[in-house]
Amino acid sequence: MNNNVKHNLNIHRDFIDEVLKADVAEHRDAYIDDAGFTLRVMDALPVSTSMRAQLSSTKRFFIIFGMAMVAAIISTVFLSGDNLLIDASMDVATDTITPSVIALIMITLVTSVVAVSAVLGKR
Amino acid sequence: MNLNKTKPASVTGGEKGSIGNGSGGSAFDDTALISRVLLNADKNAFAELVRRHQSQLRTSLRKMTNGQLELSDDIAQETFILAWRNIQSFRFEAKFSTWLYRIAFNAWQSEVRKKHEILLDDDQMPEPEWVESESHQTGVRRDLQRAMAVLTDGERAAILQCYYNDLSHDEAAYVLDIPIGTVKTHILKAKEKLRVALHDYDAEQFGNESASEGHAA
Repeated sequence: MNNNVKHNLNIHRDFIDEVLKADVAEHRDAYIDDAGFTLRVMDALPVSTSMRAQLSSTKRFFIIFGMAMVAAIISTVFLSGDNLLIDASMDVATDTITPSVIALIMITLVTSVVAVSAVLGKR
Repeated sequence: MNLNKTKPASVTGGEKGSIGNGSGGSAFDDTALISRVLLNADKNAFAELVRRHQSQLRTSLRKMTNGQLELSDDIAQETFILAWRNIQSFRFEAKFSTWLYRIAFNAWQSEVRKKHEILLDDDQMPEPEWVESESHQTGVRRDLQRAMAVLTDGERAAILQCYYNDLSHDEAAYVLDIPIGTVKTHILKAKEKLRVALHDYDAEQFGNESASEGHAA
């Protein structure tokens, strides 16, 4: 390869770099005005992830709450050896506050607290 | 065409800005904003990220789509929506802007596949709308735009990432999801094609003295 050819190649290489860099500089300095673009994007966003997270938390709560209630009821029935739940249900139906009703409320409360704690702990 | 030369303070460098009550509250970098989005799905924080990166991303996409403004803005919007949906997968291993470029490139590829687009020839290529001046230098740039259209998608994308988005070869490989060696090959081939495409223009219209001397010798 003679010197002239090498020289020409170098010139073309420099020219391409120069044009590219000039074009890059032109557009790097340029700022495209937002002109409502951000608003358009925000309007088009899907349901927020927090809402989805809340939904899944709700589902988790009911699953854990249900399982805890079942466990509590089974335990109560087997441990108390009497008709605590039936008595309590009848008392609730007749608007009567009895120890059975209080026990049922306590079971529900404790189970709810356990379920909420479990859900919050998962997050 | 809204090409302003002055960047708002909140987007300068894409690093710092203020969000919240609009009273010039505390400044947050991208990492803090992303954390707020991750922890609280904070839409204000995400809006700040969009405001901060929209110009760079839209500029890049306009290049990628050969100046099709509507298409590039649609892809930019899609990119930010995908970023919102998938921000849980952002691992802070790359810059947020690089991660956006990656999403944008994939979105653009999907769009190309969807429309079965092929490389546009000169007659089909829409005139880039940001070419406003008829100056000599602008003419060179217009020819550069046309020359870019003859590159393959991979070559053009590599040039865009490494030159226009100022990414390293490593980062470009991440964005384009190809090996780093392929990035380098794409750039070499692209520059060779550009060299050929602009050679006549250079020799005939610029009258480069050195070139003339070289030819005369």
